[in-house]
Amino acid sequence: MSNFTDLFPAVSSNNVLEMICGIGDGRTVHGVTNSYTMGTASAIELTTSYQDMQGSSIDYILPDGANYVHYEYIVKWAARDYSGICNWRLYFDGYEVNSAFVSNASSFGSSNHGHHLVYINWVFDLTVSTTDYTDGKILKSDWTGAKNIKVMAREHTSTYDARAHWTTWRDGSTSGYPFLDVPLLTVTAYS
Amino acid sequence: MGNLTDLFPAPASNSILETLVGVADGRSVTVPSGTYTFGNVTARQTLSTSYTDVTGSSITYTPPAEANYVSYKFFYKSDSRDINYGSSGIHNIALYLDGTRVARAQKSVAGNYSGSHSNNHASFTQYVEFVFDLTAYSDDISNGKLAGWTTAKEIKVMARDHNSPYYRATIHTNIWRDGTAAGEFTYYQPIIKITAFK
Repeated sequence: MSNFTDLFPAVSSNNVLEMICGIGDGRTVHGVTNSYTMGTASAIELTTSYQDMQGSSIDYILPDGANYVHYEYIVKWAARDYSGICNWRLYFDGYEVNSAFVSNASSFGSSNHGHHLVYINWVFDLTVSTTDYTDGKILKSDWTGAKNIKVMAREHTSTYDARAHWTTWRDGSTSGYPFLDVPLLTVTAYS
Repeated sequence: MGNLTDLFPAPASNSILETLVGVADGRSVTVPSGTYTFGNVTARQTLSTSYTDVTGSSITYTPPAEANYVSYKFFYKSDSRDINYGSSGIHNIALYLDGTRVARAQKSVAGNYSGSHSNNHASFTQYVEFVFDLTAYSDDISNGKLAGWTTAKEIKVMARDHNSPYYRATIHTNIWRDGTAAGEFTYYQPIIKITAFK
């Protein structure tokens, strides 16, 4: 016999349909109807070519009734040379969401002390009548099945080298560095 | 005949009543408490030594009736504008509710002072975040406490530079892209996220 609430499902008590949240350690996170496996991050050196950011990629399937999807990737960035100027691009299904592009850096200086979090953030609008990848506006009929969302990053030049998922100092020492600073990915679907 | 639960809706299954989230690109978003239109940021914003509204931060919001707490989160970018003095881009952030400053939410943001040179590199992604408590006995906006919130109120962020001509900031901008220092040629539209809790 079925559950009563399977026969008479409750109306949604708010507009949050599901939230997928996990750190980049290879874990599997279960959503309302699908499961997602996070990437596995390690402390890395960036280059002057864009590379996929570990822990940022998800092949996301929309829950029924979704009108907006908020993608949030929190990544630790560290300067290696001078200010460590860095560029971050967001991609949806292989298309760059240009409006979500950010650059970051620390103050210019000869000590590579700049370490901070970078927030890559976008709200995909699914209520539009035509798809505009540049602005992250996606017609629902163009988001069927799993669509990949990911972040790619590069350093500005080899004079301003940068690192990701990286911590140099811990507990008063640099012994044993680099330490992994694991990224966090959150995807929330709203009605 | 409708579902039984349409006639006898279940109580909220958790403490979140609604979340309103969007990019400041002029979009309108409908949530249970109503439809809200976000600002439309189409250019970087240069600060001055007087507080000015941060573009894209304003929203006039009415929480759901059961709300006890309202979280306001404003995500934006800041960059140093000073090319001659330390590149720290010191700026101050003030949160306002219906025209009254929420002093408890005051913040200051800067990069590291790094000497006299021509590099304005300090550039951050960051949040202004505050939680309003609606369970207070009387309004104390300065501390973000209210005795209820039943009508539309504007929430916004204001900002200023530390001083002039040094320690200046610009916001909503990206100065470098793909290996070129092409100037302040791109802008970043900020994001607002409001969550109402029971």
